[in-house]
Amino acid sequence: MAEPATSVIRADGLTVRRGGRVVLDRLDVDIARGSPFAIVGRSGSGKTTLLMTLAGLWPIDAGTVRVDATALADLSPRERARRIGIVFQDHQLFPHLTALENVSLAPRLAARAGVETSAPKLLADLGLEGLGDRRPHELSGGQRQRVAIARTLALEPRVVLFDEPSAALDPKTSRDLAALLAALAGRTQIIVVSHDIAFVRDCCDRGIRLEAGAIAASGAVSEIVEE
Amino acid sequence: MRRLLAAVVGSFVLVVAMLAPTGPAYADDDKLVIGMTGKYPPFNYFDESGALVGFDVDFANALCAEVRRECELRTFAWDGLLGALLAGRIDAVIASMAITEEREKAVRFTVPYYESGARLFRRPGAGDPHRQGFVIGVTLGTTYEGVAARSFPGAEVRTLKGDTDIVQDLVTGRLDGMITDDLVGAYLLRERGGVVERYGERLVEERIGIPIRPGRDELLADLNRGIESLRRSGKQEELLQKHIGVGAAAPKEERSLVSRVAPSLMGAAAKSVVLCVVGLGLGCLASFLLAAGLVARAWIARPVAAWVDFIRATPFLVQLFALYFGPPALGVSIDAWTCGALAIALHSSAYLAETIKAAYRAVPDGQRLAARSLGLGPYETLRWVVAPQMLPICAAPALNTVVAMIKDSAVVSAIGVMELTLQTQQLVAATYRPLELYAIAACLYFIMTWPLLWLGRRLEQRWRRAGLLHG
Repeated sequence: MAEPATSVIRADGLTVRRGGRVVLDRLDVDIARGSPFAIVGRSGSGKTTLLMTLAGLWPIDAGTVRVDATALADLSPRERARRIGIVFQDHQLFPHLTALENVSLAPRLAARAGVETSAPKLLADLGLEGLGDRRPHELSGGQRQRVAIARTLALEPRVVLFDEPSAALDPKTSRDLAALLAALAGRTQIIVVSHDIAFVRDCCDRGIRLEAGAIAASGAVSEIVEE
Repeated sequence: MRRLLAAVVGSFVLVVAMLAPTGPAYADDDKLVIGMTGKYPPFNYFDESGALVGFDVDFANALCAEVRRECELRTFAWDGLLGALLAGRIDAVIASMAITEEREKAVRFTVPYYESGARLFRRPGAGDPHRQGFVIGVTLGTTYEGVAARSFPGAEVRTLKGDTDIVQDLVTGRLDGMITDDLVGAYLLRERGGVVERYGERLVEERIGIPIRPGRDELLADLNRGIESLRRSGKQEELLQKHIGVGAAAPKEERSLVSRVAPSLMGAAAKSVVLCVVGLGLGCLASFLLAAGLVARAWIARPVAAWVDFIRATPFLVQLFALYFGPPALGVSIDAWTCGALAIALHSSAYLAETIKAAYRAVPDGQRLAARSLGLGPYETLRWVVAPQMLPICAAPALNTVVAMIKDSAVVSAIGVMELTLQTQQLVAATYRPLELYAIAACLYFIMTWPLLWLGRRLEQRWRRAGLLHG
C-alpha cells in the first residue's frame, strides 16, 4: 500500500454540500502521527464541517476519511468511537450523570474490561481527583472541560479532535490547557480546531489553514497563521 | 414496519378481548328478563350498599315466583326501556310505568299492579298554594307541569331535572312546593321529614302496569294471573307498606349519613381507581408509541400528529359515546366498563404523547451527538442519555394529565360504568342529600389525586436541586 507508515488520519477528496453551497471542496488532508495538529481559519471557512466529518458525525457527499488506513464509513459507531473521539466546544457532558459516570458510561456499554479502575485513574490524571461524584453543574468550566476530555480518552481513541477548546477560558486556564494537550500527545493524536491564534501558538507547532472550504496553507504554525 | 403495526394492532385487540368478558345476553325463554331504571326511589333504586332495591324489585321477584320463572333484573335509562323491550332485550318493564293511551299504541300492559297519582307537597310555612306567586317545581318531561297549571292557575311552575334537584330548591327556599307521585312523596316524607308536608287530595289518579311486547299473549295472561294472585293474597299490600306506607320503618336514623354511605362510596372510589389504573396504564403504553411517531420522519409524524390533535380537540364525553355506541353499530359489542377504560386510554394517550414529545425535543441535539461520538447506538442513547433527561421535564405535566384524567373519569358514569360519581348520583337519588354526598365524593377525589400532585412537586424540587431542571 502507498499509505505512509506515519499517517494517522487522512481525508481524500472530501466534499460536503449544505443547501446547494459547497462547504468543503474535494479536500485532501493527511496528518502524520506526532505533535498536536492545528486546523485554523476564519468563521465560515469550513473548520467545523471538516471537524465533524473527520469525527464521522456529519454526512459527506464525496470522498473518504481513513483512520489508520481504515475507512470510517465501514465502521460501526462503536468501532469508530475507538478510533476517533471529539471534545465539543460546549463539552456536552451528560447532566444527569456524575463526572465519573460520564467518563465510564461508554466503556461500560462497550463492555471494556477494567473501567472501574481506569475511569477514576483517568480523572486523577487530569487533575480531577475527588470530584468523581460531582454532577456537571457542580463543577467549574475548566473542570467540566477536563471531564469531557477524560470521557473521550476513556475509549482510548487513536485521534482526539478538539472544537475551539480555548473558548470561554481565561488566559491562565488556556495556557494550562495547552500544556495538558502537549502532555496528552503521547497517548493519542491531538487535532485542535480553533480561531484563537494565541492558543494555537501555545499548543501546536503544525497545521493547516482553511479558506472557503479549501486548504490555503499547510506546515508550521508560524507559517499558516495570518499576521 | 408493517409487522410492527400488525403487532401493535394485534396486542390492542387482544387486550380488548381480555377486558370484554361477555357480549349482550338476549332475553330467552327460561328467564324472565325485567327492565327498570334503578333511579326511582322508593320503587327501584340502588341503596347505600349499592344493591338494587325497592317496591318494584320486590314485586318483580314475587311475581316471578308466582309465575314460576327465574328473574333477571336489568337497569336502563328511562327513555331506553321501551326500546329495549321492543328490541327483545328484555321481556317486561317493572319500573312504575303508568298506563297511558300513548304507550298502549306500542306495547301491551298488564292489569295495574298498583295505583298512585300526582299530589302537591309543600314546604312548611310556604302558605296557600292557590295564592299568586306560589312557586311549584315539577320534573321535566312529566305530565305534572300540565297538572300544576290546571290545579293551581295562580302559581309559577318551574321545571327541573329531577326530584332530587327540586328537593334541594325546596330546602333553600327557591321553591314553595312540588308536584310528584303521591307514593314518591310519601317516601320523601320518610327520608327528609320536615322538608315537605302533604297538601290536599291527589290531583290525578294513575294506574301503574307492566308493559310487554305485543303478541306475547301467553306471557300477558301469566303475568295478569300472577298480579291478581299477589293482590288477593295481600302480598302486594304488604310490599307497599314495607316500602312506602306510613308505617314503613325509618330504621337508618340512628346512624349518621356519612357512616351509612361511607362503605359504598369507598368501594366506588376503589372502582374508580381500578378503572383509572387500567385506562391510564394502557394510555401510557399507547402514548410512547404515539410520541415515537410524533418525532419520527414526516410521513409517519404527520398522520400521528393529526390523530393526536383530533383526540385533543374533541370532548372526552364524545369519544366515550363513540366507543360505546360506535362498535355495536358495526356488530361488535364492548361492555361499558371496557369502553370507559379504553376512552380513558385513548384520551390520556394523546395528551401524554404531546408531553413526551416536548420532553424529547427539550433534550439538546448536542447530547445525542455526544452520545453518538462515544459510539452509543440509538437505543443506548435513548436509554442512558436522552430518557433520563426527559423524565424531569415531563414528569410534572404528565402527572397533571393523570390527575385531570382521574377527575374526568367521572364522565364514564354517563354510560353506566359503576364508579364514584355514578355511585354518588345513585345515593343522592335514594337519600335526597346532594350537598353532603357530593362533598364526600369531592373529598374522595381529592384523596385520590392530591398524593400525585404532592409527588410531582417533591420530584420537581429534587430535580431542581440536582441541576436537572432550570427556570
